[in-house]
This record gives sequence, structure tokens and C-alpha cells, in this order.
Amino acid sequence: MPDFSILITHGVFHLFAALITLCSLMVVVSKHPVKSAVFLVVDLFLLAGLYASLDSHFVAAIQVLVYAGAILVLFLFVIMLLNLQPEELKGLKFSAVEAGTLVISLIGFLITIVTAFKGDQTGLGDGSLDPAAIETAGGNTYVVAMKLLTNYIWPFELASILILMAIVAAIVIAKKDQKKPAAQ
Amino acid sequence: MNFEIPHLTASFYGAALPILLLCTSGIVALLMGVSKNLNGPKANYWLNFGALLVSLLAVIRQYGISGSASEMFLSGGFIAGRLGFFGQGAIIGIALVVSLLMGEGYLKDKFFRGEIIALFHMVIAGMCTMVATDDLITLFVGLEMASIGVYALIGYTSPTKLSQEGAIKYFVLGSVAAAILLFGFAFLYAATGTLRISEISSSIGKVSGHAWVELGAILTLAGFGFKMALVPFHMWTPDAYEGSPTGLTAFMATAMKTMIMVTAIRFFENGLDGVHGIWMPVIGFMAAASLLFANIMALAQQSVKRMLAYSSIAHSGYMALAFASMSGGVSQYAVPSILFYLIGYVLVSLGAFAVIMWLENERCENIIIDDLTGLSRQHPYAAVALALFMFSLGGMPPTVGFISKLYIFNSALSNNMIGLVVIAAIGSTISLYYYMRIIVRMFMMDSSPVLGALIKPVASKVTVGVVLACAILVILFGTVLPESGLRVARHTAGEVTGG
Repeated sequence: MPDFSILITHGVFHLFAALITLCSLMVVVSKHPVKSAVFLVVDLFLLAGLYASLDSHFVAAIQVLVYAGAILVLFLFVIMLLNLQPEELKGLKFSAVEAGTLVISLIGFLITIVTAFKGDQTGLGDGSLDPAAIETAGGNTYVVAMKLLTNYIWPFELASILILMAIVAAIVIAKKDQKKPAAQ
Repeated sequence: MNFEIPHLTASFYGAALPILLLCTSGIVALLMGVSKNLNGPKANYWLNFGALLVSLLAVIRQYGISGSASEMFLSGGFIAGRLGFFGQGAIIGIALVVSLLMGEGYLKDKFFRGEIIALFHMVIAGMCTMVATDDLITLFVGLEMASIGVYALIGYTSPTKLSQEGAIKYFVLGSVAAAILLFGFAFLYAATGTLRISEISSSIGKVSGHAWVELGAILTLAGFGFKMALVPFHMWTPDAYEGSPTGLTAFMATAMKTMIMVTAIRFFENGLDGVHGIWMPVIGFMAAASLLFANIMALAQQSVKRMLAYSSIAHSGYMALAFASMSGGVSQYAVPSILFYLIGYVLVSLGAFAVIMWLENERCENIIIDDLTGLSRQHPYAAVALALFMFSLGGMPPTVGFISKLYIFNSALSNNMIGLVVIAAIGSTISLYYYMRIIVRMFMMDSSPVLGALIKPVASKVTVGVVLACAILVILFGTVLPESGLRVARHTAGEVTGG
């Protein structure tokens, strides 16, 4: 009897992957910004599904909470505040040459990727992070937390500086122009 | 499952002091910005000066005491080794010089604000992180710290239409490049099962024929090529350089280049050496394209900063030439020649930008080449210094530009890359025309009416000091000291080449 569970896992993975590609495409080609944002929500939910199908349930949950929940709501707020109308985005027009170059390079890239993935074994086998090892070490949440605060403590702490920088940068850029320079 | 508990020893704090200090001083600058008494330009000036000076001294001390082998901290997140300290020292030194020059210029009050100094210091911390890491995640975090801060600094320090256009172009293209770089890292991780540069090199031999490795190598090369500003990934450079305040242009042209070159040396020499057959032809092509295209484009530029932007693309091309010759340990000259070239290029660029920064003021923010006509009549010393730097950029003896090009060509020739060297020589000849054009304008023509607006009483001590120091070093490295310069470069390169 064939192993149905593996078959189903693979099937789910490929289904999610195909849907993600489709939704990402829709994010880019939608004329209406709200539509794009909604497709992005769907996209991120599907991505969470992809993670779950790879036995990374913790990352999947965080994906839903942080991206699909918080970040996307902010996106929608910004779109609402800017009140972009669909016709304002029509300025983008490609010439035939540009569109042709774009399409040809995209197709070339896809062909390369597909060829690359045909032989999907690299001969190294599973790394230290295969599902069974994670299960014996104490489960997803435990391993993610431990890895973050032991092996990856340096990038983890620096990422906090990075986020602080991004906040400062976003605030100073978005700040209204002062008519007069501040008192010196 | 192996969790490496971080051992935060005294030697780690000593080695990572610059990064920790600069992060802290960035946060202090932010807090000072909201205090009542400490938010003036003066307080920020001294905070900036103090933090950078202490970091610089710490790095120099660490470089002195570090042995030939590098020491890994925090699971490879931080490497204490000569190459990393060399990069950190260069970056912090450049930042110190640039900020001192900014303190003399007309943008003084705009630059020494709490939020700007905070971003500036965190950018430097990010650069210092990037040059001293063995971990691809840390490398990427460092790159983003360096990039995001610079986007904001370009657009916000002195907001004009030009600077905001440059910032937004750099931001959009930079984000795409970061995504491509990350995509490449993902392929490398998928192929080798590790995120450590040193471990990639040991397992890459087993999977070298695999398409994932090839894709990973090519995509990371594209990401690095963007930051190095190599053709065909150079589109952002002229706009970003022209749009930013000149001090920041100097910072980008020198510190950014140091950061990316040192990181790329570590990444390609230590990590991807096993598959050099894949990336070598590509970087060779990028070098040739940069050398021809950038030098030809520079001929048509009117703005001095735009011309220097194309010239910086061309200089990246020369360094990429040495990257192409750094294959499988065949050439022991490649890495030292890149480092020596970097030293020379940083000195020359800082000097040239210092002269240009001195000439600028509120009414004339973007000097075009015609503005320099007859400069020798008004300010002979400035004209002589600028001419010297132009000679060096063009690669004329007896300056460092000539010697460093010689080392690069030597490294390429020792690897039988005659075609590339011929192209580089042609590009170098073309470049002489636009460097000489400035010299001809300055010395052989009467003053332009615009120059009247640029008249300066006297130069400040800082500007004179920086220009003089750069000029003296440019000549010394070009005449009597090239051997010792190369020895330092070889000593530094020992960390990755093993010598």
C-alpha cells in the first residue's frame, strides 16, 4: 500500500505553492490597491499553510499573527489614509521593447529555476533540523526559541537595532517639512 | 540539536566594542534629540567625534593584537580577525573624516541633528557587523542596517527634489537587490545545509555540480554586484551620488565600497572558492562591462559628482578584475591587490570630495565641471590638490593610483586574463580624458563667472588637514611606500588566504 500521508503532504505543498504564485501575481497586476492588499493577505495565509505542511507549526502561527494580522492591517490603513484611486496608478506604461525584455527574461529565469529543481537531491540529506530531530529536542517552539537565543543571538540582537533604525528613518522621512529650520 | 550557549568573554567585548559602542551612541543621540539642553549641533558634534574616535582606537588596537588565525564568537556571528578589523578601521576612519568635513561645511546644522547622527552611527555599526561575520544571516542584517540608514540619510539630511529622487531610486533598486541576494543565500543553504560561510566552503565540493549551488552563486553575485555598483547593476549610482549631500556621497563612495569589497572577499574567497568556475566568468564580464561602459558614460557628464559616480563604477570594475583572478588559490596577488587598491581609492576619493565639499555652499550645491574653470587663479593650492587626486584616479605615476592599478593588472596577468587586462587598459586610457578635462579647465583657462559665487576666504584647519594628509599619502604610496602598503595588505589578507 502506498504511503498516502507522504502523498498528501506533497500534494498539499504543491497546491499551496501554486496558489501562492497565483496570488502573488494578482498582487502585482491588480489595478486597485485594496484588491492587491487583500490578495496579499490571502498570499500570507497560504504561506502559513506552506510552513505548516513543512512541520513548522510555530512559524506558521507567527506568520498568521504578525504578517496576515498586524502588518497587513497597517498596509490597509496606509492605503486608506492615502486614499489612492485606481486611475492614479495608470501612469505606468511599458513600451513593446521593455515588455518584451521583461517577458523574455522572466521566461528564461523560470526555465533556469525549473531545470535547477529537476534534480532535487543535493546529496547532503537532511540537516540537523529535520522534523524527527526537532520533535525529540522538544518541539518547534522550543527549538526556535533556543536557536534564536543561542546560535543566532548576534543577528537577533542586531535586528532590534535594524528595526529601531527603520522606525527612525520612516518617521523622519514622513515628517512634514518645517517651514523654518528649527531654532539653532 | 546543538545549541551553542554564547560565551560572552572579555575578549568578545574587546573585539566587538566598536559595534556595541556605535549602537549605544546611536541610541544616546536619539535620546539627546528630545532633551532640552543637549540637542544642539554642538553636543551632537562632540558625541559623534568621541564615539567614532574611541571605536577607531579600539579597532586599531584589536588589529594590532590579532594573530594570523581568526577567532569566532557567537557561533560565527562575529569574527575577530585581521580582515574584519581592517574593514572596520577603514569604515570608522572614513566616517570620522567625513563627519569632521561635514562639520566645516554649510550643512553643519542639518547634519548634526540627533536623528541623523543616530542613523549615521547605526549605519556604521551595520557596516562593521557585515565585514566581520561568518554567518549569512548576520551578513544580511548588517547589509540592511547599512542600506536602510543610507537611504534615509540621502533623502532627509538636506531634502531637495534631487536628493529625494536619488533616495527613492536607491531604495527601490536596493530592496530588489537585497531580495535577490537573499534568494541566492536560500539556494546556497538548500544546497549545502549551512549558513556559515566557512562551512559552505567545506561542503560545497560535494555538491559543486548541482544547479542550486550555481544559481545561488550567480544570484549572490548579482546582489553583491549591485552594492559594488558594477555594470549592469549600476543604475542607481549616478542618481544617488548626485542627489546626496557631498559628504554623504563621499561616505557612500568610500565606506560602502570598503564594506562590500571586504565582505565579498570573505564570501568568495572563503565560501564559494570551491565553485569559482561558475562565478569567475560572470564577474569577469561585469568587470569588463563596468570598465568600458562607465568610462565612456563619464565622458558625457557635466556634474562633478555624477562624473565621480561613473568613475567609482569604473574603479569597482578594476577591483572586480582582481576578483575574477582570485580563483582556487592560483593567484596569491588577488586579495592583497584588492585591499591595496581599496586603500588608494579611499584616500584619493576622500581628498577629492574634501576639496569639492570646501568649494560648495548654499547657493551652489551641485558643482559642474565648467564651474571649476580657472580655479588655479583663485585658489592655487586647492587646484593643485584636486589635480593630484585626478591624476591618481586616472592612474598616472607617481601616485598611488598607478601602483594599485599595476598590482591589479599583475594579479590578473598571473592568472592569464590577458583579454580583461587589455580591456582595463583601454578603459583606463578613456578615463584619462575626463580627468584631464578638469585639470585643463582649472589651469589653462580664465576664471568662469560662476566661480565668483564659490569664492572662499580661507580653508578651515580640518579641510586643509584632510586634503594634505590624503595628498601626502597618495604620493607616498605611489613612490616610496608601495611595498609596505602591499605588505600591510598581504598581512591583512592572511586571514582569508591563510598566510
